[in-house]
Amino acid sequence: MSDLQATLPAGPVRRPASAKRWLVRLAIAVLLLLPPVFSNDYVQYVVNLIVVYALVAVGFNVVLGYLGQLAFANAAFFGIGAYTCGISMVHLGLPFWAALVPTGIVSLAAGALVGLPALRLKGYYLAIVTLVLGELMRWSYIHGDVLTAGSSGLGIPPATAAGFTFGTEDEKYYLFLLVAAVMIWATNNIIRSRIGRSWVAIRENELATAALGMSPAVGKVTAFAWSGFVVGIAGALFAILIGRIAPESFNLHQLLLHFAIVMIGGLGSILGSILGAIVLTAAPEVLRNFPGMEEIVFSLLLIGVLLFMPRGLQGVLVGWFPRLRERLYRE
Amino acid sequence: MFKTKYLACMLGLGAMLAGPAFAQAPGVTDDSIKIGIFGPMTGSAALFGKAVFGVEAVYKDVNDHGGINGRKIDIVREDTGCDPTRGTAAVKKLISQSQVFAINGGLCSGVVMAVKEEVAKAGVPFVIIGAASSAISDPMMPNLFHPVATTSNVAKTMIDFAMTREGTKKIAVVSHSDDWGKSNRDPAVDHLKEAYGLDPVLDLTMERGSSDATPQILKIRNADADFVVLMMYPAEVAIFLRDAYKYGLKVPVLAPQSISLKDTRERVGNDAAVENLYVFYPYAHPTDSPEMEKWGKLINKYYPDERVESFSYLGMSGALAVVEALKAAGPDLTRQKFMDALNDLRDFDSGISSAPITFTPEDHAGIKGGAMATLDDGKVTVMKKWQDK
Repeated sequence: MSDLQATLPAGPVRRPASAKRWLVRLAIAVLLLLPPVFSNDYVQYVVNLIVVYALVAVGFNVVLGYLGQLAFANAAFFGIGAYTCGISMVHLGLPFWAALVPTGIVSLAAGALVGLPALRLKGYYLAIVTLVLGELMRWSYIHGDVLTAGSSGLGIPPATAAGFTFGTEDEKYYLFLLVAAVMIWATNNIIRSRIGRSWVAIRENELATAALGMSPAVGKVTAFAWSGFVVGIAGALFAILIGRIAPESFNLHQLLLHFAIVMIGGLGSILGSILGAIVLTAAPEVLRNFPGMEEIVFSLLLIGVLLFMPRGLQGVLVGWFPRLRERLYRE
Repeated sequence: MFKTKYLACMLGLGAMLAGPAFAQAPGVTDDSIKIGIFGPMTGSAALFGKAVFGVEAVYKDVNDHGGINGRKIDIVREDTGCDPTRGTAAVKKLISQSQVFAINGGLCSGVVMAVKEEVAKAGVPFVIIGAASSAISDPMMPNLFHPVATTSNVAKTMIDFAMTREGTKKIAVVSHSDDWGKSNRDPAVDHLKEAYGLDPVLDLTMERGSSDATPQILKIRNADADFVVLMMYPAEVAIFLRDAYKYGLKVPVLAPQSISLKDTRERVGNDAAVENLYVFYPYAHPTDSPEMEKWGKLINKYYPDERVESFSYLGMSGALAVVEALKAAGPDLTRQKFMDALNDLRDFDSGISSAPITFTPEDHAGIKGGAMATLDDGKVTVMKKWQDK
């Protein structure tokens, strides 16, 4: 063994977290636990919705931002997750925690299935094929009365765990926070792993990725599968939050909202996904007393971001605080 | 020190004992009653939001005439955009932030279905403005009142109307395949089967956004249908009638209450093409009659720029029922007294709805029955049966 090899660490280099970093993390954790103390039922509902959409955007960003594929199956994954969770709870009598298992499996499988056309299609063609899936799923929810209760909507019982019912918005918040934190942490780790780097490599140059010995086919299917999984779990949280899921909740408007969250927050950025979810979920509520303003602000935000902030809100924030820069974010 | 503590204890005890006597119901003060209203004021279904102005005009008129038992109605309006997620936020805001006494809202069935449980938990009296799904009031919820012709009621009226024409055997149904279309189509097909033992001669779909109805028209012509039931949105109904006229199909066409005769005539741009159109009519009189015009003028008194359409009147009967129940509940207003008064409402004739409103503790679907309307020489004619034309 040479001297050089002897000095190299066996695995990836991990910087030891300083006391200051731990303090910052602790402060963030405490801040995240606080909202229910200061909010009423309405404000807490909006905060819970932000958590759900943050998770949706993180999942969508895997395909749109990290993998760089123009695919719009997100509303379909969201609906599949919500309905699988709802059907598991209502028809199979599973508690929420157990219902997350079939939800995860079905969403993951749906994601992998959508990933298959992505092996042969690109750009607008892939966009159209994935868009159709959303409409096809919506048709299935409407006409699958026996399982989905059709257009009347499927009533979802509250989540329970060890005899405890997450009935209020405050209780739901802590449940959602836990699930979202685990999912976002896992996504962040995957993105920094070999698999995640292969997604980014495919985005930058598919041929070069293959030349490096990484299979673009495997990369694409895993990215779609993980995206489906994360968004499906977000769909399950959405079902619990709303308490009744109906086909109209998973229409084109839902897809546009997801797309805008990712674009405004920042493509290929977890922080951006969260920022986008905060802005686009809170804005309609802030503008509630100004009829018509929501559409105008929504449009102006999208145009403004595309023209002046191509890296989204995350890019602006990173300009102010360079330490927030994520390694694999999209330039 | 002892004196201060003693005094504080006595005051506290006094407040506890006196509490119930001074307790006001949430949203009620000595001079106001806060009522929450929600509807789609923006978005693709904003047309339905016109009904909100009718409801508000009723309450503003009550205020201008001295209020109810010395209290003015304080209106708090929230927009839902016809989206269940936003609708849930709107209702939560009304209940937990605005702390309204009662809610008079809901024009989109999806939104109402999404917020039902929330309102049930909060125990806030909830009177629907115009959302028509039968599932809203069946099964019954003690604090939800539905003074609207439900989809079942509308479908039943349409089918019964068709069957009043002697020899009717073949009814073709054309509907959107979306959730709205299905929720309207299913009760019509079920009623046809249950009441008359018939299946539709044709059960077709025409998607939203379609610009051509030729395939459906040709099939209906080949089937020699006696009536066509359209469960579709205004734009597609207009396209169907345009193409029916083009192909010379002269079969009577029935449409639900979401279709306005005059609006359809304007869309088609051809009086002859709407000659065979019959729509479910939720009102007692034609909209251009003196009986209805006074309500239109009331809306314009408070909203001068508002263009009054048939949707504008949709929630006014319910709002008048709310006013009636608030009066009956008396000056010591509580939510329970208000709901009891609504439960006692029998054959309440507002002069607007085609049928009176009746609530009982067992049944909160307040409107039974209805009528159909057609254009006769350009004027709206209300009909109960085919022979009335």
